[in-house]
Amino acid sequence: MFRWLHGAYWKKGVHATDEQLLLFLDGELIHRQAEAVRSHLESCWSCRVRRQKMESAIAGFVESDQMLLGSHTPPKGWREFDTRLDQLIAEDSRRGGVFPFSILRLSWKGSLAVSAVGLLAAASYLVTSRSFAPTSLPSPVRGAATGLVASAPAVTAPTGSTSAVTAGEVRKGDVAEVSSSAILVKSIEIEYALHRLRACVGGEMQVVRRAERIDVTGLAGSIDRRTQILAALSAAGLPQWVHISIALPPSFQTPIERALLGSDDRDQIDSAVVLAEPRVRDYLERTLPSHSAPDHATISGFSSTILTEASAAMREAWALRRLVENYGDAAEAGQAGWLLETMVRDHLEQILRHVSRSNSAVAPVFGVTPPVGGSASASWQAASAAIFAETEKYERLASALFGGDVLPDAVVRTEQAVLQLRLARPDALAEALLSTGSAIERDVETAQGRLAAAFSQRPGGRESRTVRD
Amino acid sequence: MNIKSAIARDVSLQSAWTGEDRSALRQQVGALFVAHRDAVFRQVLRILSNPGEAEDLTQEAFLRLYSELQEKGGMKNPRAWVFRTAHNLAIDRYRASRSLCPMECTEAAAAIEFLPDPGEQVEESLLSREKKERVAGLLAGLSPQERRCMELRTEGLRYREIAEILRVRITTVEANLSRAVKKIMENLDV
Repeated sequence: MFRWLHGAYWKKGVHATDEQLLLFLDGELIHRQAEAVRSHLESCWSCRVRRQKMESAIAGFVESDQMLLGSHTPPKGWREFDTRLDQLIAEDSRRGGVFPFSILRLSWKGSLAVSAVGLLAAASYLVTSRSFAPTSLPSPVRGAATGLVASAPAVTAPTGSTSAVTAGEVRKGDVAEVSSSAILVKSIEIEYALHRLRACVGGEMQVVRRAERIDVTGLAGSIDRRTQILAALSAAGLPQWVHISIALPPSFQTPIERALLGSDDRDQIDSAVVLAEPRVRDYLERTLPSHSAPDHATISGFSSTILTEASAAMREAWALRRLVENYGDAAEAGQAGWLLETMVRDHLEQILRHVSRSNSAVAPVFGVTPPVGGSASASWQAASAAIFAETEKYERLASALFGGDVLPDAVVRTEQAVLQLRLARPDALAEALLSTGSAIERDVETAQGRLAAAFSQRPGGRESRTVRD
Repeated sequence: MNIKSAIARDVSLQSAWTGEDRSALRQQVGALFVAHRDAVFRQVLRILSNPGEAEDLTQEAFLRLYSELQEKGGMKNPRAWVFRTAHNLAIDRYRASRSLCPMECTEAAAAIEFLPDPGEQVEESLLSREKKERVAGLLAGLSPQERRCMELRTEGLRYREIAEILRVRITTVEANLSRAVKKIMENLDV
């Protein structure tokens, strides 16, 4: 519109419009038109001043934009991209064609945006596609009124697979020949696929390595979630010796209900919205300046925030502990070691994030400076074990302080002499909470350092990878 | 890398995408990723305000680019395509998360609001507040689409590319940008 007006109706002596000036500044005018505007600007002070004002406005926007973006950088520094792209290519070549692999990598939150029809269609595709045809285990759906157990399918990898993990892979009837290293590598790949969907936390899915097979079991919250998990597992490549069983609850929500009612996180958050422990409420009302004295809803919100963070840290710590128990001594993980390292690092970062947020919120309220704590663990496995123990304690202290729970016996027994004296003093309990949080933060740092050292020395570790950036 | 050389690089890659050489395609997608990932990341970050999710969706967009190129053999403007894909993914994620995370915008936000930031000195806090107020004042009155157009233009995208990303006519982009600049001029009182 503006180009046409300008090109056709430009008259000497007429000022350029703001639209024409912006197009000119952005280099969007064709040569002849641009020359006309340039020539006009040379002779017209008024238009030059307007041009300067426009440039000031643009500069103001750019400055504001930079301010809003801040100094955010990708948290993982693009580390995962090469792995994900390689997986996509390996999967693509295994299938011998194009497969919309990446859509299956949406996180579970993203998946809510997908319609139920699309998901059911995807489910239908999975069970009817030749590549995913059920083999040894049919898929009985038992009783609509009782717990639906969809036993799924040990699925067959397409013939001609070129995956690096097929060295020990066998076809039907040769199950006894599966090598332990193939099981280990495939197991880590499956863990990683679940990790990407956050199905590794909260006990949603479990991977169990056995002598000759891998069992993947779990409880999905809905049909579409189960479909999503199955799709991700299939994309990771499933030899016959991987057995999957994902149960569904007796009644599950439709996608619309789920969008309205929320999901796992929402449930967890709702359950955490509880009244602050009375002593804490009194304490806050007494200590905070009168102009910022919080009301009931604010204190409840504050308490639930701390409880949510502590609980989230605990779920990550459980997932971390499970990785350590299952793969802590997996020195032969080879290329899959990179995936293992990524998963461990993710959990450590999440624990650190949740605990730091919680500590940052608690410390100023109680006026306590967290002491420096933590252990000097010799390995990432030992540091992870320490993190689990500390996080467990942290969650219990948070529950006692903000959830109105009675301090668990285990914690009282652990530090009986000190804590029993402090029970009547929220600030002392907060100090114990902050101290535990600090210990976790230090332990996470230790674990990260040990992890980097351990995996850089392994085949497939960071130092042996090609840096493309 | 400036905009012109990035575009030239994109165009020069097109001839190689037609084959089935996955390795070459991988390298080319890797090169596009390195060239454009930061800009795409920033665009997703503007929508979601979550660096972790922005990183994830940026990678997702480039993985989809690989699949798309593998399937179709080439495309006219991969930069615009990947921006559009990332933009759509971010909008979908935003809509989903808005119904999933009431904590962030209600109780939790209110709860944290009254707390002093432990890592922030008083002067810094005042400065930060002043900056925020200034930004809010500057951007007041801009419609979401006007703001999106401005943000994409800030990333060096041409009008036709912005139109392609937002699925609007090029004249709509022109009008949006013009209105946005005018509003900012008024807000700046220049």
